[in-house]
Amino acid sequence: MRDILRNRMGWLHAWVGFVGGLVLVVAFTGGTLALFDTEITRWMEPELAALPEAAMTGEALDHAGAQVWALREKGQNVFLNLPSARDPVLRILHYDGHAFVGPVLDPRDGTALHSRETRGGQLFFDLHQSLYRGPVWGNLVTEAAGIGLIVAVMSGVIIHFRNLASDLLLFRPFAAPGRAWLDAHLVAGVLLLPFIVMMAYTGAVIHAPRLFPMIGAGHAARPAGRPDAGMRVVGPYAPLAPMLAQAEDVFGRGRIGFVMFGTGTVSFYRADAADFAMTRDHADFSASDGRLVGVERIGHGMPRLGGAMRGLHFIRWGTPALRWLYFVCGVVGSMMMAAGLVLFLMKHRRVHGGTFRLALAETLALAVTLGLPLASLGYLWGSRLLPPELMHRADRETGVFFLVWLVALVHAGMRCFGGAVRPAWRDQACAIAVLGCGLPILDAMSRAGTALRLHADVYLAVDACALGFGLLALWGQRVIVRAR
Amino acid sequence: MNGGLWKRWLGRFGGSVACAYVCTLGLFSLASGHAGGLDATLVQSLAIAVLPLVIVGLCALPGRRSGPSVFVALAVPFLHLS
Repeated sequence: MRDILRNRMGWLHAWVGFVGGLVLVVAFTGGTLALFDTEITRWMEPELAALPEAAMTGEALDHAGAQVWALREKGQNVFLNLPSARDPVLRILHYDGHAFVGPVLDPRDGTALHSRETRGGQLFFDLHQSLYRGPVWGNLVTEAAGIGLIVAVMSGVIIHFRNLASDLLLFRPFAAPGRAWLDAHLVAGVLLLPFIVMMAYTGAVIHAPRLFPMIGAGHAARPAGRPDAGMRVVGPYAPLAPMLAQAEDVFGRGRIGFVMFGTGTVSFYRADAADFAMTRDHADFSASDGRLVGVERIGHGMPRLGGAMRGLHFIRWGTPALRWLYFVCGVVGSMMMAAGLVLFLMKHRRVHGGTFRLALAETLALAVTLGLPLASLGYLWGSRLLPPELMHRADRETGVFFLVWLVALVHAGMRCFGGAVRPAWRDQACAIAVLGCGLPILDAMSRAGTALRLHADVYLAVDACALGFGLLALWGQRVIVRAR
Repeated sequence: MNGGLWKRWLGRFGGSVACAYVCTLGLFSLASGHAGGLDATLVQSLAIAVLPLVIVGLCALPGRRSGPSVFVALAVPFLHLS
Protein backbone atom coordinates (compact mmCIF):
# COMPACT_ATOMS: atom_id res chain seq x y z
CA MET A 1 0.00 0.00 0.00
CA ARG A 2 1.43 3.37 -1.00
CA ASP A 3 1.78 6.17 1.51
CA ILE A 4 -0.60 8.62 -0.20
CA LEU A 5 -3.25 10.92 1.26
CA ARG A 6 -6.18 8.72 0.27
CA ASN A 7 -4.61 5.67 1.91
CA ARG A 8 -3.71 7.57 5.06
CA MET A 9 -7.27 8.87 5.31
CA GLY A 10 -8.57 5.38 4.54
CA TRP A 11 -6.56 3.97 7.45
CA LEU A 12 -7.75 6.75 9.75
CA HIS A 13 -11.39 6.33 8.68
CA ALA A 14 -11.32 2.55 9.00
CA TRP A 15 -9.63 2.24 12.38
CA VAL A 16 -11.06 5.27 14.13
CA GLY A 17 -14.41 4.34 12.59
CA PHE A 18 -14.25 0.75 13.83
CA VAL A 19 -12.84 1.25 17.32
CA GLY A 20 -14.85 4.43 17.91
CA GLY A 21 -17.80 2.90 16.09
CA LEU A 22 -18.19 0.15 18.70
CA VAL A 23 -18.87 2.90 21.24
CA LEU A 24 -20.67 5.20 18.83
CA VAL A 25 -23.28 2.62 17.78
CA VAL A 26 -24.18 2.25 21.47
CA ALA A 27 -24.19 6.01 22.07
CA PHE A 28 -26.12 6.80 18.89
CA THR A 29 -28.70 4.05 19.41
CA GLY A 30 -29.08 5.04 23.06
CA GLY A 31 -29.47 8.69 22.09
CA THR A 32 -32.01 7.85 19.42
CA LEU A 33 -34.15 5.97 21.94
CA ALA A 34 -33.58 8.70 24.54
CA LEU A 35 -35.34 11.18 22.23
CA PHE A 36 -38.50 9.52 23.51
CA ASP A 37 -37.26 8.74 27.03
CA THR A 38 -40.34 10.23 28.69
CA GLU A 39 -42.67 8.30 26.38
CA ILE A 40 -40.77 5.04 26.99
CA THR A 41 -40.99 5.67 30.74
CA ARG A 42 -44.75 6.09 30.41
CA TRP A 43 -44.97 2.87 28.38
CA MET A 44 -43.14 1.15 31.22
CA GLU A 45 -45.70 2.43 33.73
CA PRO A 46 -48.90 0.80 32.39
CA GLU A 47 -50.75 1.57 35.65
CA LEU A 48 -50.91 5.21 34.52
CA ALA A 49 -52.59 4.39 31.20
CA ALA A 50 -56.05 4.67 32.69
CA LEU A 51 -55.39 8.07 34.27
CA PRO A 52 -57.71 10.64 32.68
CA GLU A 53 -56.07 13.71 31.19
CA ALA A 54 -56.41 16.56 33.63
CA ALA A 55 -54.75 19.90 34.25
CA MET A 56 -52.72 20.31 37.43
CA THR A 57 -54.62 22.00 40.26
CA GLY A 58 -53.23 24.36 42.87
CA GLU A 59 -54.31 21.88 45.54
CA ALA A 60 -52.25 19.15 43.89
CA LEU A 61 -49.18 21.38 43.69
CA ASP A 62 -49.43 22.41 47.34
CA HIS A 63 -49.95 18.80 48.41
CA ALA A 64 -46.93 17.72 46.34
CA GLY A 65 -44.87 20.58 47.81
CA ALA A 66 -45.70 19.42 51.35
CA GLN A 67 -44.54 15.89 50.45
CA VAL A 68 -41.29 17.23 49.01
CA TRP A 69 -40.58 19.29 52.13
CA ALA A 70 -41.29 16.25 54.30
CA LEU A 71 -38.83 14.17 52.29
CA ARG A 72 -36.20 16.90 52.42
CA GLU A 73 -36.57 17.13 56.19
CA LYS A 74 -35.66 13.43 56.22
CA GLY A 75 -32.48 14.30 54.28
CA GLN A 76 -33.58 13.25 50.78
CA ASN A 77 -32.43 15.48 47.93
CA VAL A 78 -35.63 15.58 45.89
CA PHE A 79 -37.33 18.02 43.56
CA LEU A 80 -40.70 18.32 41.88
CA ASN A 81 -41.28 17.78 38.17
CA LEU A 82 -44.43 19.50 36.90
CA PRO A 83 -46.86 17.98 34.38
CA SER A 84 -46.25 18.65 30.70
CA ALA A 85 -47.72 17.63 27.36
CA ARG A 86 -45.27 14.68 27.23
CA ASP A 87 -45.76 13.60 30.83
CA PRO A 88 -49.08 14.67 32.36
CA VAL A 89 -48.31 13.74 35.97
CA LEU A 90 -46.47 15.27 38.92
CA ARG A 91 -43.27 13.48 39.90
CA ILE A 92 -41.12 13.78 43.02
CA LEU A 93 -37.70 12.91 41.65
CA HIS A 94 -34.20 12.26 42.90
CA TYR A 95 -31.09 11.30 41.00
CA ASP A 96 -29.99 7.74 41.73
CA GLY A 97 -26.69 7.98 39.87
CA HIS A 98 -28.18 6.93 36.53
CA ALA A 99 -31.68 8.37 36.26
CA PHE A 100 -34.22 10.66 37.89
CA VAL A 101 -36.67 8.39 39.68
CA GLY A 102 -39.39 8.75 42.30
CA PRO A 103 -43.07 8.55 43.13
CA VAL A 104 -45.78 9.68 40.74
CA LEU A 105 -48.55 12.01 41.92
CA ASP A 106 -52.03 12.67 40.56
CA PRO A 107 -52.11 16.15 38.95
CA ARG A 108 -55.69 16.63 40.16
CA ASP A 109 -55.09 16.31 43.93
CA GLY A 110 -51.42 15.45 44.48
CA THR A 111 -52.09 12.00 45.94
CA ALA A 112 -49.62 9.23 45.19
CA LEU A 113 -50.48 7.07 42.20
CA HIS A 114 -49.72 3.39 42.24
CA SER A 115 -47.07 2.74 39.61
CA ARG A 116 -44.15 0.39 39.30
CA GLU A 117 -40.62 1.52 40.08
CA THR A 118 -38.64 1.98 36.87
CA ARG A 119 -35.81 3.95 35.29
CA GLY A 120 -37.80 3.89 32.06
CA GLY A 121 -36.33 5.59 29.02
CA GLN A 122 -33.68 7.34 31.09
CA LEU A 123 -31.63 4.16 30.97
CA PHE A 124 -31.08 4.93 27.28
CA PHE A 125 -30.18 8.52 28.09
CA ASP A 126 -27.57 7.33 30.58
CA LEU A 127 -26.29 4.77 28.06
CA HIS A 128 -26.07 7.53 25.48
CA GLN A 129 -24.17 10.05 27.55
CA SER A 130 -21.98 7.83 29.71
CA LEU A 131 -22.46 4.18 28.66
CA TYR A 132 -23.91 3.63 32.16
CA ARG A 133 -20.41 4.12 33.54
CA GLY A 134 -21.00 7.32 35.51
CA PRO A 135 -20.33 10.98 34.92
CA VAL A 136 -16.51 10.78 34.88
CA TRP A 137 -15.13 7.87 32.86
CA GLY A 138 -18.33 7.20 30.97
CA ASN A 139 -18.59 10.82 29.82
CA LEU A 140 -14.92 10.84 28.91
CA VAL A 141 -15.25 7.74 26.71
CA THR A 142 -18.32 9.04 24.87
CA GLU A 143 -16.62 12.43 24.52
CA ALA A 144 -13.57 10.79 22.94
CA ALA A 145 -15.86 8.72 20.71
CA GLY A 146 -17.65 11.93 19.65
CA ILE A 147 -14.34 13.49 18.62
CA GLY A 148 -13.55 10.21 16.88
CA LEU A 149 -16.82 10.46 14.95
CA ILE A 150 -15.89 13.94 13.69
CA VAL A 151 -12.44 12.63 12.70
CA ALA A 152 -14.03 9.66 10.92
CA VAL A 153 -16.49 11.95 9.11
CA MET A 154 -13.74 14.34 7.99
CA SER A 155 -11.48 11.55 6.76
CA GLY A 156 -14.48 9.91 5.06
CA VAL A 157 -15.32 13.17 3.28
CA ILE A 158 -11.70 13.51 2.08
CA ILE A 159 -11.78 9.92 0.75
CA HIS A 160 -15.07 10.38 -1.09
CA PHE A 161 -14.89 14.10 -1.85
CA ARG A 162 -14.95 13.70 -5.62
CA ASN A 163 -17.88 11.29 -5.56
CA LEU A 164 -20.10 12.88 -2.94
CA ALA A 165 -22.87 13.72 -5.43
CA SER A 166 -22.87 10.29 -7.06
CA ASP A 167 -22.70 8.56 -3.64
CA LEU A 168 -25.91 10.35 -2.78
CA LEU A 169 -27.77 8.70 -5.66
CA LEU A 170 -26.16 5.30 -6.00
CA PHE A 171 -27.66 2.53 -3.91
CA ARG A 172 -27.62 -1.06 -5.18
CA PRO A 173 -29.18 -3.21 -2.47
CA PHE A 174 -29.19 -6.32 -4.67
CA ALA A 175 -25.55 -6.04 -5.74
CA ALA A 176 -22.80 -8.18 -4.20
CA PRO A 177 -22.92 -7.93 -0.36
CA GLY A 178 -19.76 -5.82 -0.09
CA ARG A 179 -21.01 -3.35 -2.70
CA ALA A 180 -24.49 -3.17 -1.16
CA TRP A 181 -23.12 -2.50 2.36
CA LEU A 182 -20.76 0.16 0.97
CA ASP A 183 -23.60 1.83 -0.96
CA ALA A 184 -25.79 1.83 2.16
CA HIS A 185 -22.94 3.26 4.25
CA LEU A 186 -22.21 5.98 1.69
CA VAL A 187 -25.79 6.98 0.94
CA ALA A 188 -26.72 7.19 4.62
CA GLY A 189 -23.43 8.90 5.48
CA VAL A 190 -23.76 11.55 2.78
CA LEU A 191 -27.48 12.15 3.34
CA LEU A 192 -27.05 12.49 7.11
CA LEU A 193 -23.71 14.27 7.02
CA PRO A 194 -25.07 17.56 8.46
CA PHE A 195 -27.11 15.77 11.11
CA ILE A 196 -24.24 13.52 12.22
CA VAL A 197 -21.73 16.38 12.33
CA MET A 198 -24.20 18.55 14.25
CA MET A 199 -24.98 15.83 16.80
CA ALA A 200 -21.35 14.82 17.24
CA TYR A 201 -20.20 18.42 17.61
CA THR A 202 -22.95 19.61 19.96
CA GLY A 203 -22.64 16.42 22.03
CA ALA A 204 -18.88 16.90 22.29
CA VAL A 205 -19.30 20.56 23.26
CA ILE A 206 -21.85 19.68 25.97
CA HIS A 207 -19.34 17.37 27.64
CA ALA A 208 -16.27 19.41 26.65
CA PRO A 209 -15.42 20.20 30.30
CA ARG A 210 -14.63 16.49 30.69
CA LEU A 211 -12.00 16.73 27.96
CA PHE A 212 -10.78 20.22 28.85
CA PRO A 213 -11.29 20.41 32.63
CA MET A 214 -8.75 23.20 32.90
CA ILE A 215 -10.91 25.54 30.75
CA GLY A 216 -13.94 26.93 32.57
CA ALA A 217 -15.58 25.83 35.80
CA GLY A 218 -15.59 22.08 35.19
CA HIS A 219 -18.31 19.60 34.40
CA ALA A 220 -21.80 20.06 35.85
CA ALA A 221 -22.56 16.35 36.27
CA ARG A 222 -22.06 14.91 39.74
CA PRO A 223 -22.64 11.57 41.43
CA ALA A 224 -25.94 10.76 43.07
CA GLY A 225 -26.99 11.25 46.63
CA ARG A 226 -24.86 14.22 47.58
CA PRO A 227 -27.09 16.24 49.91
CA ASP A 228 -26.83 20.01 49.96
CA ALA A 229 -24.97 21.45 52.91
CA GLY A 230 -27.47 22.60 55.50
CA MET A 231 -30.32 21.12 53.49
CA ARG A 232 -32.46 20.27 56.49
CA VAL A 233 -34.85 23.16 57.04
CA VAL A 234 -37.97 23.21 59.16
CA GLY A 235 -41.35 24.68 58.18
CA PRO A 236 -43.85 26.21 58.03
CA TYR A 237 -43.69 26.58 54.26
CA ALA A 238 -45.68 28.82 51.99
CA PRO A 239 -47.98 27.09 49.45
CA LEU A 240 -46.50 26.57 45.99
CA ALA A 241 -49.51 27.45 43.84
CA PRO A 242 -49.25 31.26 44.31
CA MET A 243 -45.50 31.05 43.63
CA LEU A 244 -46.18 29.15 40.40
CA ALA A 245 -48.61 31.87 39.30
CA GLN A 246 -45.92 34.52 39.88
CA ALA A 247 -43.27 32.44 38.12
CA GLU A 248 -45.63 32.05 35.14
CA ASP A 249 -46.04 35.81 35.08
CA VAL A 250 -42.27 36.00 34.62
CA PHE A 251 -41.66 33.16 32.14
CA GLY A 252 -45.08 32.65 30.57
CA ARG A 253 -48.02 30.38 31.24
CA GLY A 254 -47.19 26.66 31.08
CA ARG A 255 -43.46 27.37 30.76
CA ILE A 256 -42.36 26.16 34.18
CA GLY A 257 -40.78 22.70 34.10
CA PHE A 258 -39.66 21.82 37.60
CA VAL A 259 -39.32 23.14 41.13
CA MET A 260 -36.12 22.91 43.16
CA PHE A 261 -36.08 23.29 46.93
CA GLY A 262 -33.13 24.91 48.67
CA THR A 263 -32.32 26.19 52.11
CA GLY A 264 -35.12 28.65 52.70
CA THR A 265 -35.85 29.12 48.99
CA VAL A 266 -38.00 27.54 46.34
CA SER A 267 -36.91 27.94 42.69
CA PHE A 268 -39.24 27.55 39.72
CA TYR A 269 -37.21 26.64 36.63
CA ARG A 270 -38.26 27.31 33.09
CA ALA A 271 -39.10 24.09 31.20
CA ASP A 272 -36.55 22.72 28.72
CA ALA A 273 -39.30 22.73 26.11
CA ALA A 274 -40.02 26.45 26.57
CA ASP A 275 -37.28 27.77 24.32
CA PHE A 276 -34.71 26.74 21.71
CA ALA A 277 -31.83 27.54 24.06
CA MET A 278 -31.92 25.11 26.96
CA THR A 279 -30.99 27.35 29.87
CA ARG A 280 -31.69 27.15 33.55
CA ASP A 281 -33.63 30.42 33.94
CA HIS A 282 -35.45 30.43 37.24
CA ALA A 283 -37.48 32.51 39.66
CA ASP A 284 -36.60 32.20 43.36
CA PHE A 285 -39.09 32.55 46.20
CA SER A 286 -38.81 32.64 49.94
CA ALA A 287 -39.90 29.23 51.22
CA SER A 288 -41.47 30.68 54.37
CA ASP A 289 -43.66 33.47 52.95
CA GLY A 290 -43.68 32.84 49.16
CA ARG A 291 -42.18 36.25 48.36
CA LEU A 292 -40.36 36.57 45.02
CA VAL A 293 -36.72 37.15 45.94
CA GLY A 294 -35.05 37.04 42.54
CA VAL A 295 -35.18 36.09 38.89
CA GLU A 296 -32.18 34.70 37.05
CA ARG A 297 -32.20 34.77 33.26
CA ILE A 298 -29.35 33.78 31.01
CA GLY A 299 -28.67 36.82 28.85
CA HIS A 300 -28.30 36.98 25.11
CA GLY A 301 -24.99 36.44 23.35
CA MET A 302 -22.24 34.19 24.62
CA PRO A 303 -23.95 32.97 27.82
CA ARG A 304 -26.69 31.44 25.67
CA LEU A 305 -24.22 29.53 23.50
CA GLY A 306 -24.14 26.52 25.80
CA GLY A 307 -27.95 26.54 25.99
CA ALA A 308 -28.21 26.70 22.20
CA MET A 309 -25.86 23.70 21.88
CA ARG A 310 -28.01 21.79 24.36
CA GLY A 311 -31.18 22.88 22.59
CA LEU A 312 -29.90 21.63 19.25
CA HIS A 313 -28.72 18.33 20.72
CA PHE A 314 -31.59 17.45 23.06
CA ILE A 315 -34.37 18.94 20.87
CA ARG A 316 -36.65 19.25 23.93
CA TRP A 317 -38.23 22.36 22.37
CA GLY A 318 -39.13 20.44 19.22
CA THR A 319 -42.58 19.41 18.11
CA PRO A 320 -43.34 15.67 18.00
CA ALA A 321 -42.81 15.76 14.21
CA LEU A 322 -39.33 17.22 14.62
CA ARG A 323 -38.51 14.68 17.30
CA TRP A 324 -39.63 11.90 14.97
CA LEU A 325 -37.38 13.36 12.27
CA TYR A 326 -34.45 13.24 14.71
CA PHE A 327 -35.45 9.68 15.60
CA VAL A 328 -35.45 8.55 11.96
CA CYS A 329 -32.09 10.27 11.38
CA GLY A 330 -30.76 8.60 14.52
CA VAL A 331 -31.91 5.16 13.40
CA VAL A 332 -30.41 5.63 9.93
CA GLY A 333 -27.22 7.03 11.48
CA SER A 334 -26.91 3.99 13.75
CA MET A 335 -27.44 1.72 10.74
CA MET A 336 -24.80 3.66 8.78
CA MET A 337 -22.28 3.13 11.59
CA ALA A 338 -23.25 -0.55 11.86
CA ALA A 339 -22.75 -0.87 8.08
CA GLY A 340 -19.29 0.67 8.55
CA LEU A 341 -18.44 -1.97 11.15
CA VAL A 342 -19.60 -4.71 8.78
CA LEU A 343 -17.56 -3.23 5.90
CA PHE A 344 -14.45 -3.16 8.10
CA LEU A 345 -14.96 -6.82 9.01
CA MET A 346 -15.62 -7.86 5.39
CA LYS A 347 -12.43 -6.14 4.30
CA HIS A 348 -10.29 -7.76 6.97
CA ARG A 349 -11.93 -11.18 6.73
CA ARG A 350 -10.16 -11.74 3.42
CA VAL A 351 -6.73 -11.48 5.03
CA HIS A 352 -7.29 -12.25 8.70
CA GLY A 353 -10.12 -14.80 8.44
CA GLY A 354 -10.01 -17.37 11.26
CA THR A 355 -7.73 -15.37 13.55
CA PHE A 356 -8.50 -14.58 17.19
CA ARG A 357 -8.43 -10.84 16.55
CA LEU A 358 -10.98 -10.99 13.78
CA ALA A 359 -13.27 -13.31 15.77
CA LEU A 360 -13.10 -10.83 18.67
CA ALA A 361 -13.92 -7.95 16.32
CA GLU A 362 -16.82 -9.95 14.82
CA THR A 363 -18.11 -10.70 18.32
CA LEU A 364 -18.00 -7.10 19.50
CA ALA A 365 -19.52 -5.77 16.28
CA LEU A 366 -22.42 -8.21 16.49
CA ALA A 367 -22.93 -7.52 20.21
CA VAL A 368 -23.34 -3.78 19.64
CA THR A 369 -25.14 -3.95 16.28
CA LEU A 370 -27.83 -6.53 17.09
CA GLY A 371 -27.16 -7.27 20.76
CA LEU A 372 -28.06 -3.75 21.86
CA PRO A 373 -31.49 -3.64 20.13
CA LEU A 374 -32.12 -7.12 21.52
CA ALA A 375 -31.25 -5.96 25.05
CA SER A 376 -33.48 -2.88 24.61
CA LEU A 377 -36.42 -5.06 23.66
CA GLY A 378 -35.55 -7.40 26.54
CA TYR A 379 -35.68 -4.37 28.85
CA LEU A 380 -39.22 -3.56 27.68
CA TRP A 381 -40.25 -7.19 28.09
CA GLY A 382 -38.68 -7.26 31.55
CA SER A 383 -40.59 -4.14 32.50
CA ARG A 384 -43.90 -5.89 31.91
CA LEU A 385 -42.93 -9.37 33.14
CA LEU A 386 -41.26 -8.49 36.44
CA PRO A 387 -43.77 -8.23 39.31
CA PRO A 388 -44.74 -4.58 39.94
CA GLU A 389 -44.10 -4.86 43.69
CA LEU A 390 -40.64 -6.41 43.38
CA MET A 391 -38.01 -5.01 45.75
CA HIS A 392 -35.36 -2.86 44.00
CA ARG A 393 -37.39 -3.25 40.87
CA ALA A 394 -35.63 -0.54 38.86
CA ASP A 395 -32.28 -2.25 39.46
CA ARG A 396 -33.73 -5.62 38.47
CA GLU A 397 -35.15 -4.13 35.26
CA THR A 398 -31.78 -2.63 34.42
CA GLY A 399 -30.25 -6.01 35.28
CA VAL A 400 -32.51 -7.63 32.68
CA PHE A 401 -31.21 -5.21 30.05
CA PHE A 402 -27.56 -5.98 30.79
CA LEU A 403 -28.22 -9.70 31.22
CA VAL A 404 -29.80 -9.93 27.76
CA TRP A 405 -26.92 -7.91 26.32
CA LEU A 406 -24.40 -10.21 28.06
CA VAL A 407 -26.19 -13.28 26.69
CA ALA A 408 -26.05 -11.72 23.21
CA LEU A 409 -22.31 -11.10 23.66
CA VAL A 410 -21.64 -14.65 24.86
CA HIS A 411 -23.75 -16.05 22.02
CA ALA A 412 -21.90 -13.89 19.51
CA GLY A 413 -18.57 -15.00 20.96
CA MET A 414 -19.43 -18.69 20.88
CA ARG A 415 -20.66 -18.50 17.30
CA CYS A 416 -17.95 -16.20 15.92
CA PHE A 417 -15.06 -18.06 17.57
CA GLY A 418 -16.64 -21.26 16.25
CA GLY A 419 -16.51 -19.88 12.72
CA ALA A 420 -20.29 -19.51 12.37
CA VAL A 421 -20.53 -15.77 11.89
CA ARG A 422 -23.49 -15.71 9.53
CA PRO A 423 -25.63 -18.01 11.74
CA ALA A 424 -24.76 -15.76 14.69
CA TRP A 425 -26.21 -12.72 12.89
CA ARG A 426 -29.24 -14.75 11.82
CA ASP A 427 -29.88 -16.03 15.38
CA GLN A 428 -29.82 -12.57 16.91
CA ALA A 429 -31.93 -11.12 14.09
CA CYS A 430 -34.46 -13.89 14.78
CA ALA A 431 -34.44 -13.05 18.49
CA ILE A 432 -35.09 -9.38 17.71
CA ALA A 433 -37.92 -10.41 15.37
CA VAL A 434 -39.54 -12.53 18.08
CA LEU A 435 -39.24 -9.91 20.85
CA GLY A 436 -40.17 -7.00 18.56
CA CYS A 437 -43.19 -8.63 16.92
CA GLY A 438 -44.32 -10.04 20.27
CA LEU A 439 -44.16 -6.75 22.19
CA PRO A 440 -47.58 -5.42 21.05
CA ILE A 441 -49.12 -8.72 22.20
CA LEU A 442 -47.33 -8.46 25.55
CA ASP A 443 -48.55 -4.87 25.88
CA ALA A 444 -52.13 -5.90 25.13
CA MET A 445 -51.96 -8.69 27.71
CA SER A 446 -50.22 -6.76 30.48
CA ARG A 447 -51.97 -3.37 30.30
CA ALA A 448 -55.24 -3.97 32.07
CA GLY A 449 -58.30 -2.02 31.02
CA THR A 450 -56.91 0.20 28.29
CA ALA A 451 -55.04 -2.20 26.02
CA LEU A 452 -57.91 -2.75 23.61
CA ARG A 453 -58.63 0.95 23.10
CA LEU A 454 -56.62 1.98 20.06
CA HIS A 455 -55.40 5.56 20.48
CA ALA A 456 -52.52 7.43 18.92
CA ASP A 457 -50.65 7.43 22.24
CA VAL A 458 -47.27 6.37 23.63
CA TYR A 459 -48.35 2.74 23.86
CA LEU A 460 -49.28 2.54 20.20
CA ALA A 461 -46.07 4.36 19.20
CA VAL A 462 -43.76 2.06 21.21
CA ASP A 463 -45.65 -1.06 20.06
CA ALA A 464 -45.55 0.08 16.42
CA CYS A 465 -41.81 0.84 16.58
CA ALA A 466 -41.07 -2.53 18.20
CA LEU A 467 -43.18 -4.27 15.56
CA GLY A 468 -41.43 -2.34 12.80
CA PHE A 469 -37.96 -3.25 14.07
CA GLY A 470 -39.14 -6.84 14.55
CA LEU A 471 -40.31 -7.06 10.93
CA LEU A 472 -37.08 -5.43 9.74
CA ALA A 473 -35.09 -8.04 11.65
CA LEU A 474 -37.30 -10.79 10.20
CA TRP A 475 -36.57 -9.51 6.69
CA GLY A 476 -32.87 -9.20 7.56
CA GLN A 477 -32.56 -12.77 8.77
CA ARG A 478 -34.28 -14.01 5.58
CA VAL A 479 -31.74 -12.07 3.53
CA ILE A 480 -28.94 -13.70 5.55
CA VAL A 481 -30.45 -17.17 4.95
CA ARG A 482 -30.82 -16.56 1.19
CA ALA A 483 -27.27 -15.26 0.89
CA ARG A 484 -25.77 -18.53 2.10
CA MET B 1 -1.25 -4.49 4.65
CA ASN B 2 2.40 -3.68 5.00
CA GLY B 3 3.14 -4.25 8.72
CA GLY B 4 5.74 -1.50 8.94
CA LEU B 5 3.47 1.06 7.34
CA TRP B 6 0.58 0.06 9.59
CA LYS B 7 2.69 0.51 12.72
CA ARG B 8 3.96 3.82 11.44
CA TRP B 9 0.41 5.06 10.85
CA LEU B 10 -0.67 3.85 14.28
CA GLY B 11 2.27 5.64 15.85
CA ARG B 12 1.49 8.76 13.88
CA PHE B 13 -2.16 8.62 14.93
CA GLY B 14 -1.22 8.34 18.62
CA GLY B 15 1.30 11.13 18.26
CA SER B 16 -1.19 13.27 16.33
CA VAL B 17 -3.88 12.90 18.98
CA ALA B 18 -1.48 13.78 21.80
CA CYS B 19 0.03 16.66 19.85
CA ALA B 20 -3.39 17.98 18.80
CA TYR B 21 -4.67 17.87 22.38
CA VAL B 22 -1.66 19.65 23.81
CA CYS B 23 -1.58 22.23 20.99
CA THR B 24 -5.32 22.95 21.28
CA LEU B 25 -5.10 23.25 25.03
CA GLY B 26 -2.05 25.49 24.87
CA LEU B 27 -3.51 27.67 22.14
CA PHE B 28 -6.77 28.30 23.94
CA SER B 29 -5.17 28.71 27.35
CA LEU B 30 -2.94 31.34 25.77
CA ALA B 31 -5.90 32.96 23.98
CA SER B 32 -7.96 33.02 27.19
CA GLY B 33 -5.10 34.66 29.04
CA HIS B 34 -4.53 37.33 26.38
CA ALA B 35 -8.19 38.08 25.73
CA GLY B 36 -8.84 38.61 29.42
CA GLY B 37 -11.37 35.91 30.23
CA LEU B 38 -13.03 34.57 27.12
CA ASP B 39 -16.32 32.78 27.71
CA ALA B 40 -15.47 29.19 28.73
CA THR B 41 -18.20 27.66 26.55
CA LEU B 42 -16.95 29.59 23.53
CA VAL B 43 -13.37 28.47 24.13
CA GLN B 44 -14.48 24.86 24.59
CA SER B 45 -16.65 25.02 21.46
CA LEU B 46 -13.72 26.28 19.42
CA ALA B 47 -11.37 23.74 20.98
CA ILE B 48 -13.75 20.91 20.10
CA ALA B 49 -13.91 22.19 16.51
CA VAL B 50 -10.14 22.59 16.23
CA LEU B 51 -9.11 19.29 17.85
CA PRO B 52 -10.39 16.90 15.13
CA LEU B 53 -9.17 19.27 12.42
CA VAL B 54 -5.64 19.15 13.82
CA ILE B 55 -5.79 15.36 14.24
CA VAL B 56 -6.86 14.87 10.62
CA GLY B 57 -4.35 17.46 9.43
CA LEU B 58 -1.46 15.79 11.22
CA CYS B 59 -2.50 12.35 10.02
CA ALA B 60 -2.72 13.70 6.48
CA LEU B 61 0.92 14.75 6.47
CA PRO B 62 3.14 12.59 4.28
CA GLY B 63 5.74 10.24 5.77
CA ARG B 64 9.00 10.90 7.57
CA ARG B 65 12.06 12.59 6.15
CA SER B 66 10.01 14.96 4.05
CA GLY B 67 10.82 18.21 5.86
CA PRO B 68 8.85 21.38 5.09
CA SER B 69 7.88 19.93 1.71
CA VAL B 70 5.11 18.04 3.54
CA PHE B 71 3.02 21.20 3.57
CA VAL B 72 3.36 21.56 -0.19
CA ALA B 73 2.53 17.90 -0.59
CA LEU B 74 -0.50 18.38 1.62
CA ALA B 75 -1.74 21.40 -0.29
CA VAL B 76 -1.53 19.73 -3.71
CA PRO B 77 -4.36 17.22 -3.27
CA PHE B 78 -6.62 19.91 -1.80
CA LEU B 79 -5.90 22.20 -4.72
CA HIS B 80 -6.61 19.27 -6.98
CA LEU B 81 -9.89 18.51 -5.22
CA SER B 82 -11.07 22.09 -5.48
